[in-house]
Amino acid sequence: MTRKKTIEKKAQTVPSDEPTNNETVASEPSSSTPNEPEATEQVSELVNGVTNLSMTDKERGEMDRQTKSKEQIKAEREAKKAEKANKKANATSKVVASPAPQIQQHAPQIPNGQTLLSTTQVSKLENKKDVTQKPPSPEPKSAIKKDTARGNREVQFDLNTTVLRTPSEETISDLPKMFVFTDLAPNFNVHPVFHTLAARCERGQVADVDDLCEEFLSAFVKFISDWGAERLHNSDADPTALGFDLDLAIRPQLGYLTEDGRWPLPYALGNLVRQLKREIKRLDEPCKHAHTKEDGTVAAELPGGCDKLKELEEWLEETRYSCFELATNSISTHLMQKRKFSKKIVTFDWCRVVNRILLDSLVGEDPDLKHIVVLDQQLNGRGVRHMDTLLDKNVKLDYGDLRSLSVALHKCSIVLIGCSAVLSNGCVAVPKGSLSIALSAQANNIPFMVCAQTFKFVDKVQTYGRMALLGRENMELVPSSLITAIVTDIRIVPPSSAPAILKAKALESQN
Amino acid sequence: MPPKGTIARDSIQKKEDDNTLTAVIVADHYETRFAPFLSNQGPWCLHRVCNVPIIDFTIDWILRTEINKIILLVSEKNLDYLKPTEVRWRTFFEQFLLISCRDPASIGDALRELDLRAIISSDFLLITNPATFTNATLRRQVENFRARRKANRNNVMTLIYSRSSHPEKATIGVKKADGKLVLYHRADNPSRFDVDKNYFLDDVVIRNNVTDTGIAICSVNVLVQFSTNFDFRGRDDAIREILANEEILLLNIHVDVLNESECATQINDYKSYLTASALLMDRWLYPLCPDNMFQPDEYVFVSNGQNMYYGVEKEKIGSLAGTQSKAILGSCSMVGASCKIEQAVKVVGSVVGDGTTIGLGTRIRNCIIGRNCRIGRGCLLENAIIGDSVTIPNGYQLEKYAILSSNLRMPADPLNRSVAGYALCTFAPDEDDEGLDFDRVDGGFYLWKLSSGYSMWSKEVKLGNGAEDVFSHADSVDENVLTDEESSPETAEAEPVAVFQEEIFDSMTRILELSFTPQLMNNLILEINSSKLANNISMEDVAKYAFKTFILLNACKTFIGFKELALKWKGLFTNYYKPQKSQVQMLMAIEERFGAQNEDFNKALPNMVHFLYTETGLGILEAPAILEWHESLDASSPIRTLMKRIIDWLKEESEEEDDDDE
Amino acid sequence: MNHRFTITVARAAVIFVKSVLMHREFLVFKQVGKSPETMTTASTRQEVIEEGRKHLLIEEGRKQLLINLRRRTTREPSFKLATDTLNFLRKVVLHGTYNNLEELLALLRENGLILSGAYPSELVMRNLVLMVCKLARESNSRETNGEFDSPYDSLNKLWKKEDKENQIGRSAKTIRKKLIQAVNDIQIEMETCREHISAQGQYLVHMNDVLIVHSLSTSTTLSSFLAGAKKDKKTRVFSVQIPTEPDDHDAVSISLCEVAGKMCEATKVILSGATVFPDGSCLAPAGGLSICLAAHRHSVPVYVLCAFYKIAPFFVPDSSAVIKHSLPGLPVAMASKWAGRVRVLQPALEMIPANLITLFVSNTASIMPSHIYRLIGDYYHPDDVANY
Repeated sequence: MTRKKTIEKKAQTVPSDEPTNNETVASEPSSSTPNEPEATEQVSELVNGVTNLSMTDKERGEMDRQTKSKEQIKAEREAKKAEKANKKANATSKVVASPAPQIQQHAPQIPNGQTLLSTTQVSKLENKKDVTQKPPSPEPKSAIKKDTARGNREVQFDLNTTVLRTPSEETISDLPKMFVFTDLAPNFNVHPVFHTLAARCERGQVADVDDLCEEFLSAFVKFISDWGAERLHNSDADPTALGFDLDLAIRPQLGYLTEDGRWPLPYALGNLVRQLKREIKRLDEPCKHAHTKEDGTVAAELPGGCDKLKELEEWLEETRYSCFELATNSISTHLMQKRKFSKKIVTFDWCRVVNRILLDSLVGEDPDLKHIVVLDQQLNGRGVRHMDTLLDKNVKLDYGDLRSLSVALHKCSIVLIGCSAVLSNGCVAVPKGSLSIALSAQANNIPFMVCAQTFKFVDKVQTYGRMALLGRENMELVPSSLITAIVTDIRIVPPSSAPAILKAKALESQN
Repeated sequence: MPPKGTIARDSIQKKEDDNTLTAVIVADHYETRFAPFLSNQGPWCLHRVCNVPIIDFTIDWILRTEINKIILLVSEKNLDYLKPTEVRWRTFFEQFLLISCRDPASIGDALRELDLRAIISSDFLLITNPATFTNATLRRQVENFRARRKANRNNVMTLIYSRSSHPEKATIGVKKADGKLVLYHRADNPSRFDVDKNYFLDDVVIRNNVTDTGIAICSVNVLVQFSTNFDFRGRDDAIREILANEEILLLNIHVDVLNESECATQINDYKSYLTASALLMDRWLYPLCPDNMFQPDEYVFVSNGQNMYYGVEKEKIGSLAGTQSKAILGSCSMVGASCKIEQAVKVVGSVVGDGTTIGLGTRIRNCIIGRNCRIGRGCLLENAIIGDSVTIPNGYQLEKYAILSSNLRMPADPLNRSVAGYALCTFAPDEDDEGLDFDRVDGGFYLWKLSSGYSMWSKEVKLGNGAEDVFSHADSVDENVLTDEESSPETAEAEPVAVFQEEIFDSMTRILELSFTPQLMNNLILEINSSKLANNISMEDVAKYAFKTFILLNACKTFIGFKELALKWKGLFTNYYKPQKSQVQMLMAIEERFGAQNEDFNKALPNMVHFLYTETGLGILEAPAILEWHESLDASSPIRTLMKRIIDWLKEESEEEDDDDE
Repeated sequence: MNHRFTITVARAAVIFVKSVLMHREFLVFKQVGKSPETMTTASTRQEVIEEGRKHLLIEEGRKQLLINLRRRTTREPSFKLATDTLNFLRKVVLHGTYNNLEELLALLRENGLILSGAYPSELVMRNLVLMVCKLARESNSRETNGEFDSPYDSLNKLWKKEDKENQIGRSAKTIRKKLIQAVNDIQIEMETCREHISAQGQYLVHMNDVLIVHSLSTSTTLSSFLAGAKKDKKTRVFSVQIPTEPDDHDAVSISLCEVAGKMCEATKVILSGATVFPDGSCLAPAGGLSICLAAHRHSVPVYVLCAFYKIAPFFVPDSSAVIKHSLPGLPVAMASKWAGRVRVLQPALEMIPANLITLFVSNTASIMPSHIYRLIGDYYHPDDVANY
């Protein structure tokens, strides 16, 4: 479908601006102060660049490639006029951009987006309206420096040797890492909280997809509050277009996180974002009603209909609550019955939900009867977190890596594993190594249970090699045939009924 | 097999030239805590951990080192006890000497005796505590020691430390360059130094994340130290002596640390006694673990792969049928041979000696129980040490941290006073071993305690606040170990600015090592930015700490070095110090560094500022920034005086500019 | 000076005491027990001394073997262990004092039990002891009737008691001579078996095969097998290992958790077995099971390399007894926190059921798991196995 197509297209355009990005990083703080001689003719060209939609991406890409740097210098210099041009650009794009699929098709305009961006660096306000945005513009010398930047890739790799990788991943992770770095350059239309988020992911400080989602939500709350604040000052912001503007505003943020759609968001996060977008769209309709109905409120209303943002923030908060606290609780209560009879529980890698379940399973039981085994991809890995929480519980604990699998499964009564996504065909995306656990569990006839909150169910059937943000989180698919059951916050279901869950979710989200 | 005498003699002739190591083990333990168990049952080194005599473990790990000569220093009264040990082990070594010392009162005496007899003339491995276990082969350490000896005959001693975290942590100061020991902890409090500030030189690192293994590689000179000063009691005295008058003796001590995977521990009190047996049973000291110890005429154990060990009766040796016992053994537990254990007995983290009977439904956790004990039904024993042939009535609930010496029969009704942290014996301590008090308890028991007021159980517990969990202390220690380790994840959560500074310091040093290219500069900036983002550092702080770390670099020790490096890294400065704010921050950084007592820097300060200002130099500072900073300085600060010249000069310069404007 | 003298005396005394002790022990262990008195009365002191001396030699040999085992910090390839054991057994045969087959078997068994008591997990030792026992019977009965037929061969021989070797046993001297000869033969077979196995690599591995191997760094047999395969064929090799292990230059190293994913690319799995049991199941380095399961799922053939001395004629009641766990591969800083509370699993071996294994590659031939018992026939004798 269109989304995927655009992704590829973007992927093509990206290399063009990669070295320049490096450059910008190098000269980051200073580039914030533009210098201003004159060059008028450039602006008109700019405008064409944006408005002329008939042009194909390729051409535009080419055109942009030679002209970019020159353009931008002058563009920068031409702050004021550029602004006007920019307004036009938005106007035009607004016309086209209202329904979602079309927006997708606009995506390939990135290159122009860049020029726009450079113009708008001067005033943050403009950025928010911009259709498509990109990492910041280079300084003049970028054009010269390109090749050196290319030459020194490997130097850049060892910058983050701290990040642990399995050897097999190196093949894919090489190229992306450059981008991750280029993205670390402060990008003036991406909100700092997202920079922080990306950086934390980059250094593996975000454990798993759950943490990522939570952090993203909190980051987004911050972002909205700031955005709202700026909007307040913006006199000519149209209150009815609040949702639309916001939608435009978050686009660059997401673009930044996904490296311009180079990598898909992790499934669960993708779900959240989709819901979020729906909410944002929704912002507009009730807002209109409010206007038509009682006008008394209009006066009281904040400029730009910013009060609507409150709803959004509430929505975010309660999503967070339901996705994490509530879901975890209900999952662990669902499992209570099973746990009562399971003496020896085996789990793999770190998952907060599973950890919560383990802790719950110890309450009001004789610890001597319980036996918990934590396996890890390699010793002293993430599974140690489980240990730290369980150490003082006087329960019998085992820890090991996959080599000790058969010992671990000996006399084991249940295998509990957390996952990062459940696909619509019943497969689950789980940490690498779970597949062999599932196999031996099947061989020993031990129930293999997967814990997944419902927001982890996605309507997809294939995985991508690498995800945005959690690129290094190495996942593999366990087919539904090996899974005994999936424990969701709704109930314990067989993997075959994943579509049903999806349907239920859809219904729930409609009303 | 020639008679021993000749061995000893010709080996002595040999020793002058060869550099084979000899292991010197002091078989007796002079820790008064253990007196309750030593009075009638031989020296401490024959006491059992995991049902195996301590000395056997010790010799077993020495077997894996390159050492093939062993000297056991035994007090005369214990000589006969150790004969069988010698018989058992002597074939394993080229030389195995038992040396009887006439009633030594301390380790020092034993060593003096050794020196007196002039048996050792080569380097030797000194093990002052027989209960010292490690799984390291010490190959690297010995090589280092020899290399040092070659370099300088006066490098007489290498103390071996391990990374394992142990309740009482010694703090030491070590020269970063060559691992030379310069600071040693105080006798009374291992976490303290007794030194004055000026000891804290730049290249000395203070380490408290390592623990003493009790193993030291020494040359004969150390023995000489002992025989010259007769008041030395233990090894530490000699160390302090050598450190104290370094100038006179010109002897050096070095420190070598075992690597990540090499574990080491020693037993100093009952707490470490429990810990050691846990370590052994959980294979942290592998290949030093009970089921590798094998003496067909003494003890044989099989483990069922779950760190549960069973003693094997003689006739069952080598049979494939797995030994099974009715006891529910938790992991890390051991039951000796020919024990009678009834149903539903839980044994967790404990050692039960041979021939002990345990009654129905008794629970035992973190205990060490001697041989031929009789433990009734439904008892609850936790964190206790119990000697041989002790009788415990049914349903008895023993206090935690109780120490029961041998041949006790506990009365059915609990004692009228707490025994936690005391040792309960059937006899009174001898008059001659000082440091021990006792008071009588009804039932004709004697309750022993240390006159120092410390708990019998553990070194760092004063009585009164006696009851503390065996592991709790270890945990707290472990935390700060983790924070010490750079590699640990904790640092990531630590105070952001510190982390940030640390990170960029690392990247700077790394870049220093590489040959310089402009691209490298960019990478450095990349890294700084990335850690800035990751730690949420404000632009000001970046400016400040970037420069601070920069001048902390080794390359910038001298002003010259600073100059050229700064010129080299101009890119960095032009990048960050455009805005005046950042420039001020930079100066602040300089100011802070000024505080630290290093004269050369202070002298260089004005030149540095000047250099940063002038076009000939770096030319990144601008006059207003400097002036602003100068204003911010408090009147008293010495920097003002230093800066005076420059400031004045700047002032008039700016005035001139004003004139030009008109 | 006087102290040195005392030590000399002590030492001399000790040596005497020791010899006596060993002598005692010897008598105790001996099933056919002549009490010391009878012995001293029956034979002159001289003989006793002589016997004691000979026995000491065996003692020393055994001690030496055990010491070497103890000295090792990591587990060596079982080939070395096997040769050491065999050398020791040869000593026993050479210096042992026995007048007929029973005594010899008893002696062997007794020493064997002590060895395997010290290292219950080293099943190779047991195998070799049993092997030598069988050879002893063989060399004895060869004396009596020219050919020796394996009692495994025909069912209808099982019911009639084979007592001929008992009644017409030959003199100890001849047995000894022949047995030493046979032992030497075994020695030679052992030394050559690595070449034989690697030779089979050439036709078991085909062009462009993608092999998944496990514990390549520790198993010399496996590496030589691969070398044999690589000689003329071009293959890709994935070597499963933990990151800390040094990785082989001509093998792509992957971690165990990737195996299940990688299996779809593989065409063969090659493991090195530690012990093979009569039913065709085997002990392999830990991690082998999950590899085999994955292979089974993708129906990839699994070859297990095992020299003949790894084929055990007996079963193990609970495999946990023979599976040793080794050092927890964690930084020791965690030790004080974890010791006694968390058990770190580090099994050396793992039991792999017969149905997951396609072929056993032994030095003589490649055998299906279901045919392993046939090999047992020509290496072991049922009576030994029965009362071992």
